Amino acid sequence: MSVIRQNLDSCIGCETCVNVCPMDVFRMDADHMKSVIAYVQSCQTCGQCWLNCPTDSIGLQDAEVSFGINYGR
Amino acid sequence: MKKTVQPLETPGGSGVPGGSGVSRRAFIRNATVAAGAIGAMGTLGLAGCAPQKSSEADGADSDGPGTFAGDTRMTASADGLVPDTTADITYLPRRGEYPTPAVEAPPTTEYTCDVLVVGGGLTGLNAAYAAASAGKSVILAEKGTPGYCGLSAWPSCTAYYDPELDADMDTWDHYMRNSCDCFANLNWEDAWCAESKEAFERLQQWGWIQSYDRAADTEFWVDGNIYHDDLKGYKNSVPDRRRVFCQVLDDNGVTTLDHIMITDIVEENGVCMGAVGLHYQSETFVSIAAKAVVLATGNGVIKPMGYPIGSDTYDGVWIGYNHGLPITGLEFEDFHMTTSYAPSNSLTNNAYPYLEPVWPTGGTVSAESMSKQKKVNERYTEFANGFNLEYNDITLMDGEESGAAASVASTNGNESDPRKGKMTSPLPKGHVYGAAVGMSVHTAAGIWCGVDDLTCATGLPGLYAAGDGTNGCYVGGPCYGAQRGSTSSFMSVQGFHAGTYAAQYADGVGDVTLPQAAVDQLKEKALQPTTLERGYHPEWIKEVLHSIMAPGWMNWGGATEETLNAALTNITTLRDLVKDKIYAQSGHALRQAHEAEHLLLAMELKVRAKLERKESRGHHYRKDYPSRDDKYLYFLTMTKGEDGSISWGKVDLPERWTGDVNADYLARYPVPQNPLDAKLHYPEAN
Repeated sequence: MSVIRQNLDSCIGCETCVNVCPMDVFRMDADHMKSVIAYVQSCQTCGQCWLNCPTDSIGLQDAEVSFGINYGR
Repeated sequence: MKKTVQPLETPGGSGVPGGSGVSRRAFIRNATVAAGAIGAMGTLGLAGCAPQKSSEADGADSDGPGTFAGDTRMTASADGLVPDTTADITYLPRRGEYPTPAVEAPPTTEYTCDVLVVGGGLTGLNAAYAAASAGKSVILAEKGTPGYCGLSAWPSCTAYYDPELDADMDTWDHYMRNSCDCFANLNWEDAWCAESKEAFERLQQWGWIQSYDRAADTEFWVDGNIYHDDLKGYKNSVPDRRRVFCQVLDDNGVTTLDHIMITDIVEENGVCMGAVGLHYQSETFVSIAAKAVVLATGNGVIKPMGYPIGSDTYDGVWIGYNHGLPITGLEFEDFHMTTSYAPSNSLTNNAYPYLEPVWPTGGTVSAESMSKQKKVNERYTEFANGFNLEYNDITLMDGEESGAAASVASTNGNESDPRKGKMTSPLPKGHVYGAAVGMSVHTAAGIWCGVDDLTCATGLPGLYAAGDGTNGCYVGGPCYGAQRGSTSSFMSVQGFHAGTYAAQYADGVGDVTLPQAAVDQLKEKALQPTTLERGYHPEWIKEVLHSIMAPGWMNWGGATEETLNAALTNITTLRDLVKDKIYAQSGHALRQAHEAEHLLLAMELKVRAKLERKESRGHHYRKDYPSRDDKYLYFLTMTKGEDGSISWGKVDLPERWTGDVNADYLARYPVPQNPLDAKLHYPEAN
């Protein structure tokens, strides 16, 4: 589970996701006025980008990757 | 009421009030959370965003999003097309994204101030506020954006002590001893009791606390909102409390340096004179001359899943240890463990009730009930018997019992207590926290500042340590629980102390200029990971550490001399292997490289401390020494010796903290620490 792009067209380049991400997942592409999900492997699914995205450009994929990695530890 | 966890639905539609009819500027005004930070940095804000060039190595051959070649980053080789490992890339599919652009360096790389605060959580915020209120010029440096990183983004309620409503101080002390295994720092506890209400009101005044009795009573609540299927449904109408941090800093004239990782402090002639760090995204070195430095760097975690605090990486412990300061409390770390076959993400585990923009207030610390709280007992049993493989068996708490805050805010039936527990949305019940290996039990681990200390002054003049995982003050002893719900207010109290005393110290210091030779050396060290042609990726180091540290036999499943020695061998082998060979192929990885080094040190110290403490206490469970042994009724400290070896210390505790050491075991420790302890000492439990 991680951040995904729901709709790049709706990204307005407000940079909110770039700023709120504690894990430095995003970059800002000022040429295109779009954020870039640059380092998705660092996403910890905290959801702050998703919650704060004003245009629902950011989503969270619900596929459970590495389902059991936590259990027992 | 039992409900099956619903799979998370990806929200559909635009869901934005006003939709496309709202101008972009209006959106930005509403959405930009870090106005203060952006203004201070001048690099990340829209105004300062000059067109940026795409990084050449990063698929810049494609100008449009979604081209296959740009996503896969394949390059021609003698073996045909292979992944391009020279580029700064992600190996996961990113179809649809533009190539990763380069980030411009900040316009200023040398700063001067009276007080530098490192870390933008609740501790750092209050420290900066206190120092600024004392008339000092203050810089706050944060790896991300203040308010959104570390644990401060996730507390579930803010408790305070009320002398009118709570137990008298003698009774309170008794509860604290019982619930904290006779290990709690009652001096800091006194400070919390005296100042937590003020801290609560400060947070309230700043707008960080929003007062609702129950989330379900707010206008933002959507009926039938089970497990946040429609979180976004009400998120747009209520402000995210985390943005308050930047606003408060801005309002108080604090300069915020966001996305700057402080990599070390500058020490010259036994005095702290400032710090150096990286605007890591652009791989730019920065230096900050400061009369006093407050470390408020939070705690540490190897694998953030389950509790999303991956930006906490024991940065303060690393700095303190390498400057000869005593480190304490690491043996007690780890309490967010799971026995459920839970998915490895925080949103279906634990973050939902914390993520929602409705911020329940209050909560009191129910010291009496906490003193009866089970320690590692219950979880151990589940670990020993095998896991619950029924994911669907994770049930939802509902009604009054639901909500993180409700679980902590007991008022012993006093309905009129304004601090009565508030209800957040339903959340899953069960041990679904996930493996936040290393995560603090709150305030045990960190730099040891002394038995009588309430100033946060470290042994290094000019350096102050405050907050969770940075100042190892044991206000909640070695247990999670006794101080449950009060950590956010305690961080505010302790941060305020640190900022106040750092400002006082700065009064007696003349202008500070950083010694160039020392700065040059630190610059070389900070950027070293970018100079390697090959090496070990920080992500790999974290994964290996996770494998070593996470299994139950390292913590709540009962560690032994054997399991700990095995782990220590693995850790030191890893340490020697990767020494000076952690490499960074990007600014992103440059930060991770430093973080991995910090985690590696912290885990080595943690395992060594667990080996040294041959008893069980708090969240430190030794299967081979299953009971509390008052021979070990002291804080262990580890200090880096001249030759690099660890020098051990022990801190005897005042009698008021420990209580009568000659009293009966059951009187001192009313709850068994673990099942073996129960068998040995608690006839009723058998």
